Amino acid sequence: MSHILSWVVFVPLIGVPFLWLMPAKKAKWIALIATIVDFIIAIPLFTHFDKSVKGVTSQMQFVEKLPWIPSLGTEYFIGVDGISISMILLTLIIGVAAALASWGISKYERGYFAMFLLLQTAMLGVFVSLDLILFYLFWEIMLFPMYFLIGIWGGPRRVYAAIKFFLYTLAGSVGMLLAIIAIWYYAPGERTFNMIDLVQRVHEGGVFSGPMIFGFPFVKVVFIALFIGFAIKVPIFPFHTWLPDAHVEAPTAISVVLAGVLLKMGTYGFLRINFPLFPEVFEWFRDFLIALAVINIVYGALCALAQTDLKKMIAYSSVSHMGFVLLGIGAATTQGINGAVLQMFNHGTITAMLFLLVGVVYDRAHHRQIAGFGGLASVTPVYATVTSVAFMAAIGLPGMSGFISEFLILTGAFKVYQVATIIAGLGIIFGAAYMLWAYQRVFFGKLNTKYKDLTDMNFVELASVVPLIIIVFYLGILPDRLIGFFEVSLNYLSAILIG
Amino acid sequence: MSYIQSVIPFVPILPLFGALVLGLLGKRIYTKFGENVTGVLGCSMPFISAIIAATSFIAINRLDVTERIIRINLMNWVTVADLQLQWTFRYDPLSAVMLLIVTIIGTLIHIYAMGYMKGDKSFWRFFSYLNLFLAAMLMLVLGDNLIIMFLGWEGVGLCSYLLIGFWFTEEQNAIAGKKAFIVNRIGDLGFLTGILLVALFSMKLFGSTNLSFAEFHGNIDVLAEQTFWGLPLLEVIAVCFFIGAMGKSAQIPLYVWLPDAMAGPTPVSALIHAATMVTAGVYMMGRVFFLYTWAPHALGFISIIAALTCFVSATIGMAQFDIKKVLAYSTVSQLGYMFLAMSVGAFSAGIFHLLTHAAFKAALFMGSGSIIVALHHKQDMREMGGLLKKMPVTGYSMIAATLAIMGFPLTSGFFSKDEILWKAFIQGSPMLWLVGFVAAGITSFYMWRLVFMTFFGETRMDKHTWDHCQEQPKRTVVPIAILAVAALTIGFWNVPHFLGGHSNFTNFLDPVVHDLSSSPMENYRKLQLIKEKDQQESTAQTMKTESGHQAAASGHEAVVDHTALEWGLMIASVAWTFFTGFLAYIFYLRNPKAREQIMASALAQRVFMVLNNKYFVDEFYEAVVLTPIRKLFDFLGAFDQMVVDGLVNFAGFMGRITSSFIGIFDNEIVDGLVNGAGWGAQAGGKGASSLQSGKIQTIIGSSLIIFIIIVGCVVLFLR
Repeated sequence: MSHILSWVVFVPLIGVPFLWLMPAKKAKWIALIATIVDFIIAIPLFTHFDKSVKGVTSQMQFVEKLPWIPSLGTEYFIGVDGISISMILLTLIIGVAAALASWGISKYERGYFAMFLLLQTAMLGVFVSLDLILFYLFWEIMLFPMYFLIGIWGGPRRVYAAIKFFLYTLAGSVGMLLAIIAIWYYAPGERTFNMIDLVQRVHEGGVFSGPMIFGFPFVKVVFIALFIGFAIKVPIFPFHTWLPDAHVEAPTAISVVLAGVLLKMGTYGFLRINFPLFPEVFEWFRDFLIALAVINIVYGALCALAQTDLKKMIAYSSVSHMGFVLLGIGAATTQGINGAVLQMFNHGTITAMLFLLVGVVYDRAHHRQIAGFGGLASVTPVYATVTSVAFMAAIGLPGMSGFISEFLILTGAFKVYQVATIIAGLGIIFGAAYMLWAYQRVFFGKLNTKYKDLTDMNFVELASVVPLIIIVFYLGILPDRLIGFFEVSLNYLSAILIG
Repeated sequence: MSYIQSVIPFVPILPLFGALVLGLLGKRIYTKFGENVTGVLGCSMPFISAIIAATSFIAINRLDVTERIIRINLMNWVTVADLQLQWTFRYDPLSAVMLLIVTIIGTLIHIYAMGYMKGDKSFWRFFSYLNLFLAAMLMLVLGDNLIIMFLGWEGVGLCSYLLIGFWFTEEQNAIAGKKAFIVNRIGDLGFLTGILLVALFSMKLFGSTNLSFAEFHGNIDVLAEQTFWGLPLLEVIAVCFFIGAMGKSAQIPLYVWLPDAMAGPTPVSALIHAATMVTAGVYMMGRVFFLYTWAPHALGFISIIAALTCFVSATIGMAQFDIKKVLAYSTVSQLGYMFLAMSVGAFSAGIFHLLTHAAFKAALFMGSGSIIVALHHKQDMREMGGLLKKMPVTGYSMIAATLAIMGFPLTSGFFSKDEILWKAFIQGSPMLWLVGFVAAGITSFYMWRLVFMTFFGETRMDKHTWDHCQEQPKRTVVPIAILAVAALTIGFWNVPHFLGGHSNFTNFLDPVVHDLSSSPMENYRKLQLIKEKDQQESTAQTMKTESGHQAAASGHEAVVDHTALEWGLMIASVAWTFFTGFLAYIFYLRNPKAREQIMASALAQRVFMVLNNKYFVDEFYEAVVLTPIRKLFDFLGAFDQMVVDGLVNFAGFMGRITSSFIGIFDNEIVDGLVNGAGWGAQAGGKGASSLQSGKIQTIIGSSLIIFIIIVGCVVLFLR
């Protein structure tokens, strides 16, 4: 199939008109079918992917290139390499899970699912774009559906959370856009938005000829501008406070997408654009990045311990777990960087599970206060079991996927930053503490009689979680199956960054 | 493919399969076919594993000594650049012994649990967890590399958590489970750091690593030259690994979880918290004994911790009334003995004590469980007494196990404990011996106290309980009796030379675990001497290295006949344990008045209070560790909301103020003067004010305009 990548990106969007051909109550089926169809047509992408091609600076796969705005030199240029292919897989999986998690939506269904599908296309678009303007376009498009999805279908403080999310990300995007223009303007060689070419030129010794900006070297300023844009998305301390609010207010499915995919775009941006374009600045910035990573891990975990709202706790656990991704990327050793991308994938599946499960109890009890439950394991045994699996996965229990990525990251980081790695290890202890503490308060102890008639998980809820559990175990036992997709690309990237 | 290679992978896989089947279908099986079918299903997988373990053990004994290390590679696990981890199992004499312990005691306890858990509505769940535990434990034992061991290590921790909190409707049980998991995690961080150090230096020095024990062993003398932060690398790794062992094997200061873990059902205490999981740390040290031969200072540190643990927890054991708590502190103390053996380089003695302890402590726990069920879940020994008449099988089994733990001549504990004390004396120091010796007496005292308080004298329980209590069914007591017989007899596997034996067990382990022949420090010097010789020779290239080894080794082989001393120490400890056992007899059976007289003094009261409250260690941790951490995270939670997020909200607020100010400014002053320029600011002002109403279109419109303006400025500025 030619243009397979474009199909994969735009199939969700094609589903949107169909929403209005169906009764509003059936709209969810269109969304589910669209995401599943998208998954199916993407299968050749993974079966035909050549794992031995390096990518990053050189040959990309499934490339499509069309002139778009010739006067600016921007192109519709998409393609994948090892880094993006795993993120596409993640997006497709989370898409199906989130469509299932949207089953209970009962307000403006068509609008909701239209936004949902648009979001899906935008996210896929970000991961395949190889042109800076195209990348930026998809990046910004993503904001609109997200804004509406939180602002209309969210919880009580949804408007505040939506605006905060929107403005915060937009503030980051401004710097990003400026940086992109600056990169284009002062590109080594001919002006271009083609990020692969740009990275290639830098790798071959090309330099940005930009002037000093406010007395700082051009590359450093551009690097920082890009970095902040991506850092807000990750989110990195101190730019993380939009995340708990957005999560708490967002409907379950949107939390799933937000934690499952959106956060990864920040770190993906680091790997695709920010760091390979400015390897020397990265070298200079590395110690600082590691410090931020450790702060994220420990600070996020401690904040998670302090939370009383289950969803907020998981939001802070995301901050902590994304810190591990940063640690791996910052170390930039082969294990570190491979572990980081694996962790991006694993955090996506595991945290998606956690939010799906919080959604289950919220739908029934209409609140999420950890202290407001107790003893649920006696009335909802299936739910308690599934949740314990998800919590153990989040704790990083060996045998499940999270352990492999954390271990790779720690091994990789330990090669260069021993002290930071050991401090990061404290995050693992705190991680166990907040997860088990919350679990104990919700599920163990005397049953809170208010919830003695709570129903257990239904089929749709199980259908959204069980595949993720299978993935988590599969990648815990055979992580090489996924690492194989990106190892060559990332080993090469590691060599570019620190080699 | 030999027999062993083809069957060993099934040893952990079968219980895992059992756990899955019971976990997913258990409830249906339980409601449809009832308790017996579920129980038999739960026992079947461990039983098959035990048969495989036993036949493999026979098979390995038939192999030539040099062929007794069998590695079974299944597939790749994680391979990234220079890190190449495999799914590989390792079957050798050490794992063979552990496999026997885990599968046989495991199967017996599964059978026992069918009786103990009778009538529990989560019967199936219990067997699912227990199967899962066996799978993890067997993984730990069979792992060929550090990471598979770590997988099992964490896996058993998980099962321990699940099983301690098995009766989760009691908040207290759930808290105990959580405490166990988190305290273990602290140790695990140490273990993990050790693994990372091994990985780091292996990758740096040898290009790539698979973290297998064989590779680690092969590289050990190169690694011995390395330093980390100015300290000898192997010493650091050795301490890191031991921190892991402290958590899992409940050594000071991380032992606090084990007594609380008694909240779990008694089969769990017997299997996990006495016989198998808690000994994982000892097993791990045996597995990497070569590391410890290069780390004499770490061993010195371990010997202090071990001796302290051994003594302190034995003293606490004297002042407990809960029958399971006594046994729990006894377990901690006995683990201290094992580490004492390891720390003086008597690795096989440590492993042997692991084996004998598994038998007698499992028997003791199962016996206590039998009593607890008979008395309708009463655990306080002050409300027992005279039970021997009612429960003869349980009673005599426990007495047999008590003989073993006190070291009654020719029982298993006699051989294993004496070996440890002897090695502590000759390869450690007389001080270490003395601590172990005193603790042995205390052990004998608190164990006989337990026996006399429960089985002898007049009963102190109410009439109703007394009338209803009876011997447990066969499925409960037969496993106890089997273990009691084992506790009396397995000592003959390792009869030392001075008693006319051949130290068969030590010899059996020899292909994988060599004992040190002298004190750790001396041995270390010897190793260094050999190395220096090797280096000199390789530079001079004159002689073969072989002869250098021999020369260095022969220089230190002054054989002294210690037989008289060995006999002396043995007789002393037998006499001492008899004496303390007799004291227990006097105080708790013959003449309780004497005890009451002594206890009446203020000093005795105070000592008792301190011991009964476990030296207030939990309270100390609460004040020094937990409270500050709680304060810290509460503070950070508030800080995050007030300060970090406060700044964001403040920025938003300032933006709104500024834009409305600009709006006013624009309307009143600028408007009408400069129409063209005013338009932009007006748009900004309106846009900003409409933020409050959340009109997204305006936001987008205004932000696009802001973009264009800023982009224009930048391009101009940059030119």
